[in-house]
Amino acid sequence: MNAAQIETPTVADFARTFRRIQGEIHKVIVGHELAVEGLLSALFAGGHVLIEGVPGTGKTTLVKVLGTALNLSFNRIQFTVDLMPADITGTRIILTGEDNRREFSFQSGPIFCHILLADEINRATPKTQSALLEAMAELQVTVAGKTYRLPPPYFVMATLNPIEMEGTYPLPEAQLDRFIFKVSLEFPDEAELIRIISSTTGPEDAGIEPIFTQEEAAGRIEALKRLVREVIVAPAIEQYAAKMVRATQPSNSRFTGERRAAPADEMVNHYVSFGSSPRGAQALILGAKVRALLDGRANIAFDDIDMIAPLALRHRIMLNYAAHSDAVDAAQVVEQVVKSVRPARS
Amino acid sequence: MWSSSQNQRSEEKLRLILGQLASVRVRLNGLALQAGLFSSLALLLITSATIVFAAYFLMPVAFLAVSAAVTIGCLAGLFFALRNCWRNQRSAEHAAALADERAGMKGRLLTLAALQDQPNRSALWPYLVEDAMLRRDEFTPARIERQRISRWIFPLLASMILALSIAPLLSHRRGPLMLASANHQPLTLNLRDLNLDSSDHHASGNARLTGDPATLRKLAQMMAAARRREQNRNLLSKMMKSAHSLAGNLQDRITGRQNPPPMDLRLADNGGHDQNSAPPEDSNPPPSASNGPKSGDAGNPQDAPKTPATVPENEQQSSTPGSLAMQTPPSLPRAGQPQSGTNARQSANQQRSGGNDSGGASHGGGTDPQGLYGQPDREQKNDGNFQIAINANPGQSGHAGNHSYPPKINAPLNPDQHPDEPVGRAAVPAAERSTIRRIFDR
Repeated sequence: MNAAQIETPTVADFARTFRRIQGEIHKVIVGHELAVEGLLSALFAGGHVLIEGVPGTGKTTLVKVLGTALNLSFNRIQFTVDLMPADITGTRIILTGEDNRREFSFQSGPIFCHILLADEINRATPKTQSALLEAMAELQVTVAGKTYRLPPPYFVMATLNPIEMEGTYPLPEAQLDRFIFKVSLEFPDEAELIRIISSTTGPEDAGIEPIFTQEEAAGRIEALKRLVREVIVAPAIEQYAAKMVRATQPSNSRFTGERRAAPADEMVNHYVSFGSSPRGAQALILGAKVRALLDGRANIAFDDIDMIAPLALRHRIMLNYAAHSDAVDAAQVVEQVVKSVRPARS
Repeated sequence: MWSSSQNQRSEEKLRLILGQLASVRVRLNGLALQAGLFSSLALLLITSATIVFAAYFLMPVAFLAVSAAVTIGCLAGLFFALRNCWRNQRSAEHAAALADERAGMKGRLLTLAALQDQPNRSALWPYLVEDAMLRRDEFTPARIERQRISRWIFPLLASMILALSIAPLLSHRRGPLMLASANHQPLTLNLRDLNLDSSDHHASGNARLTGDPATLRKLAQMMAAARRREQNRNLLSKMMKSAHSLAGNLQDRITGRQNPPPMDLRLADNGGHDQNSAPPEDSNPPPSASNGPKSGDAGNPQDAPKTPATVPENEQQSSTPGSLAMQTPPSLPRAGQPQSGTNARQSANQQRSGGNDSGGASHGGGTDPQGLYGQPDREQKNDGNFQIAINANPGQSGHAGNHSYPPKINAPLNPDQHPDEPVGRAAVPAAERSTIRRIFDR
């Protein structure tokens, strides 16, 4: 079934589908409601998501469950130090044909799927990490001068382990910027832990029912992604999002030059070395559009921007040494930025 | 796809929504206008009431200071009131945003108002219109803004009540200064009791002086001395004098105070040498017994003149700065050169109107030696009477109910009399004698 045959979903369809997927995921994943919502929001906003959490919080499980619920092809790459780019993208190998002729043939890598889990992405070298850049940004892979399209919907979920930092390679800013949201999986509380124990140590597996059939899954998700793009944004709200992104830049930033905004918040000036890129504004608007649809609206509200700001901005803000020494994290900075920009609502 | 009829219905619904938003905007802007108007009126009323109150109850300089402060405050308040009024004027989008916020419409109205004219509308636009239409009851003008009248009406009413409440209070204070005694008998002043000082040029004469030619000649000498003192006066003193005059004029205008008829004063010279007297320095002949009325001006308030006197309004004429306050009749040409002034200070404290302690331009005194006696050919025709403005600022002592006091008489003590020495006569401990004497001396 191609996209043209799929009926255009309504606002109600979107919310209903979203909630159904959420429900399937939560059959396996205990808690992490905000993380799951962020994950699905990133999927329907057409971005990729970075998941951060300590070991055992269900990062890999979450991604596998999502793939199952959506009935989309799913691959997992465990990033290690010796992982090479060709191991991800695929490579040309010599194959002997039936006529005994040998010729190069492209053997696609695990990147060719709908949902890719890049597990512990920070353990691979920057060279390998950057192999994902083109795929994430342009939904294509170029090998030996030939470009291969990736099948839509294409959704990369990379996980980060915040501990065991030895032997890891922090993601370059350019690659961090390509993830629309960064989702944190918090350590479960006692009640959630008891539920995890009871649901995972028994004889029964949680039966996850795919929401879509295999034929229509890609088309339906693409239709829902198009609906997200149709959500209406008032100019005042676009302006608000732009102000918020500019407010993440410190006043003394040498990158903004003469075009810097009004003096930034004191906290930003003190702790931020570089703020969000323009992709942050795009992430704010797209995430807010998903939230609006979930709320049954065809328009964005200021509150949607505020709600999505932590997910969309915190991994785009580079903190300086003062922040590290004062134990200030990016989430606190974003919270302060939202407070400082709030009076700018018209 | 939406048909044209569906589009038409959607447009009609959009017009209904936008019309309702316009009503909301009208109400919000109306309230903002009312707030600006009411607050401005309240400020003006309070300011006016304060100035009028000060005009009736305060000394001229205090009145001027209070009026200036209140006026500055009023102007600042008006600025902020009008600025708030301007800022609170809502555009269509601002009104929609406010309605969104107050009705919990989550940006629906703002989006509709902002993008109503956009040609390329989203596929979700009809959904948005329909969604807002279903919630139309949530953003009626009454729900967005319940008030029809701004709360600033209460300060305005309070200021009106305040202004009305001081009106009867002021009516008790109304009335001209009464300088002369009740039976209008002419008072006799000793020339030595006069403390002459130049007056400002706005003041008018408020007393008629009579006296023998020798006394008037001596008066002219004293006025010449006063003129010289006036010329040597510093700038601050002159400015204070001008401020005093201005405040007095304003007070007179505000209170509508009518100058009483000129009082008749008879000058007498009981001998001795007055500190104000000086040999005449100009070539004018000494006054004869037939001096005509002269122009009069108010005196300097800083010198605490003590003799109140006023001159009728129709006799007020301007003179050059620094001139004395002698009143010149219209038929006589005024001298254009500087003049000296006259204040009967000691008598003023006794003759001031006891119930009215306010100042004014009519409280001034002075005499123009140049024009005092008129032209030489007319001097012979004068009858020895002239008018003089005597500064009428209230003194620090006196009884409130009396309208006039007899002039102070400085008579020399006879051999049997002794100056009053209360400390010497009292039984005061020797240790505290110096302290008490210091207090008395002070």
